[in-house]
Amino acid sequence: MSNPLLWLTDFAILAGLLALGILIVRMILPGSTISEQIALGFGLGVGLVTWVLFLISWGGIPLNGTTIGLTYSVLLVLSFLGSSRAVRKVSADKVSRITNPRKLHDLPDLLGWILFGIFGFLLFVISIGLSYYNWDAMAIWSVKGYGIGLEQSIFGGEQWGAKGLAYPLNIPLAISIFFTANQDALPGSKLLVPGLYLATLIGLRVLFQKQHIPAWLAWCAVFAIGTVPLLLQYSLIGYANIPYAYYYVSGVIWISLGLDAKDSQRILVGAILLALSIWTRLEGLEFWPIAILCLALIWRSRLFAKTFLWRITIPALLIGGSWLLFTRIYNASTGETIILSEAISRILHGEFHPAAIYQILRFTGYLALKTWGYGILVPLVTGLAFLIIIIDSKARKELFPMSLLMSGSLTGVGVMLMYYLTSYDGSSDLLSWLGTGYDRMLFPAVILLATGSLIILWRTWQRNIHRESSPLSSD
Amino acid sequence: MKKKMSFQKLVSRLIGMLLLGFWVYQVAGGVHYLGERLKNKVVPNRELDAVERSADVSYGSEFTNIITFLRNSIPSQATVLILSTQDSANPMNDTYLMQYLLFPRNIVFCPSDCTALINDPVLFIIAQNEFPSMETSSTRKQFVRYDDTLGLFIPVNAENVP
Repeated sequence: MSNPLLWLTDFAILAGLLALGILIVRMILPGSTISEQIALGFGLGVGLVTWVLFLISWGGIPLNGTTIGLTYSVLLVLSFLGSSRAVRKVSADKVSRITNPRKLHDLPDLLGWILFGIFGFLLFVISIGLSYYNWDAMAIWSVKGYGIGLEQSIFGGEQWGAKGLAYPLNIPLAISIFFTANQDALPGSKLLVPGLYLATLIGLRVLFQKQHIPAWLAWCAVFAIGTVPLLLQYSLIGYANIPYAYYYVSGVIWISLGLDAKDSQRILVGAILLALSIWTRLEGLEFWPIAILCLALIWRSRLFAKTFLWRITIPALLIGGSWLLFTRIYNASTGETIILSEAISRILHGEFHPAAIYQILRFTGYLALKTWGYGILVPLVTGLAFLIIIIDSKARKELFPMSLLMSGSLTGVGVMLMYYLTSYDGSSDLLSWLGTGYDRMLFPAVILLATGSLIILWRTWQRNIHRESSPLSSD
Repeated sequence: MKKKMSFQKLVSRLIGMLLLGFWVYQVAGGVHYLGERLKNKVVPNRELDAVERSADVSYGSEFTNIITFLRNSIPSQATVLILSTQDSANPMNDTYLMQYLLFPRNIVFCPSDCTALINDPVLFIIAQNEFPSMETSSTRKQFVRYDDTLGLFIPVNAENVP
């Protein structure tokens, strides 16, 4: 841990992936702010590099230092050329206006960034200091990445680590890059999860800025979500739930932002991120259609505009489709996949478990009330927002925050449904399933609900303030 | 009507203050959590390598000593036989955990009949309690004792034997 060369190499890899991602974001959104580029770029850099490495390895090319370096260089040059061309197309005036909306003398914002920097530094140091711990981090994600690095092939993942090749390889392949560089001796790959967590929070900061929420409140919200006990804990362990939450939440938010502003390029970035969620965790396949359903329920015909629809579906077909094809060809399935297939078959034969629904709802209530689960603020703010939606028809007409609340709610219901299906597993009872992973499966739902709720509360408060101060108000 | 509005204002201020209080409580809790991890694990373990830190954070210092003993005793190219993968309560019997903790050593376990594997002259065997029995394993292997319950059978012709 005290070898500076290891720290330097690992931060260079991290910076390299971020730089690539920033160029990709600039290529698609030439007028984006630097914070938006960082928030979206880190995940795009990691996800797209690992996906290309996956295709290369599937094609039989060994994944050694040269191949990884060459792949990265080609992607970097292509995205550099693409971003230069895109930025040239946007007038200089527009770029400077869009990229510098924040004044440096905005003290609360500056203070927020400084505190966030300290928070990020702490997360990086503690994550590396703890190394990989808890079962999934050691027995699935890290060792699979090391196995891939050792064998120089994605097929190394079959014998190294649990679950064979059934789990998507975004995180293991990213870990294998660090292994190829220096045997992951630090382990530098433990920068990935806190990195994606910080990118999620920066993304929320960018969103709150776009929603005209004042900087002090935006940062309060970012730290409120950032210090949710379970999220904070899992940002340090090395599980793939935080990376998955990043891709899913950022994907849904940026597609919604795009639909709200009728901005097809923002939709494209969101769609790539959402597609990368399929490439990060197995349940991405279930939740991608749920996310699209939620967006369709809120945005209706706008979502189905030809120009938007293909931007949303093509990335998922390419990234998710290639992964699905791979798992079908190599018959990669887990015990969970078999349980779910069995459950669906039994439901189709008329077998239902109402007691399981009650048990899941009770467990969810317990998690919401448990102080060191999702904290106090997130359940409270979400509850307040739902109360406002029920009593205030104007709040229900706020399409953007409603799309986040709808996505958060239905994603949560989707997780419940997934666990309902495990009640058909004869070898293990539902409570033991709920005890192993239900809380972290809800991460995307929790972040979306918290984010949407804050925006609803802010807009309602603003409306009331304006009504009170308006000379035309009823009093 | 004015009274109603000021009541609304009062309620929203109360809610605001309540949220602020909870915010301070939660952020302070987060800072405390990070501080504890830093003080109790990161700083004391800073001289350990990545795998030793994993073992310590997950299962404590005694388990870390066992893993260090095994990594020092088994060459990195070796194949290691462990008792079973079924007993999940004991990390020593978990194939995938041991793959990580002893990486890049190849880990094998006994599906049912272990005799052939135990008698394989090149395999290292992690011996725990009654596994494997001394009669079946001691012929072509040297036994290195860790403590009363744990040891290691090392092939007699193995290189880098401690």
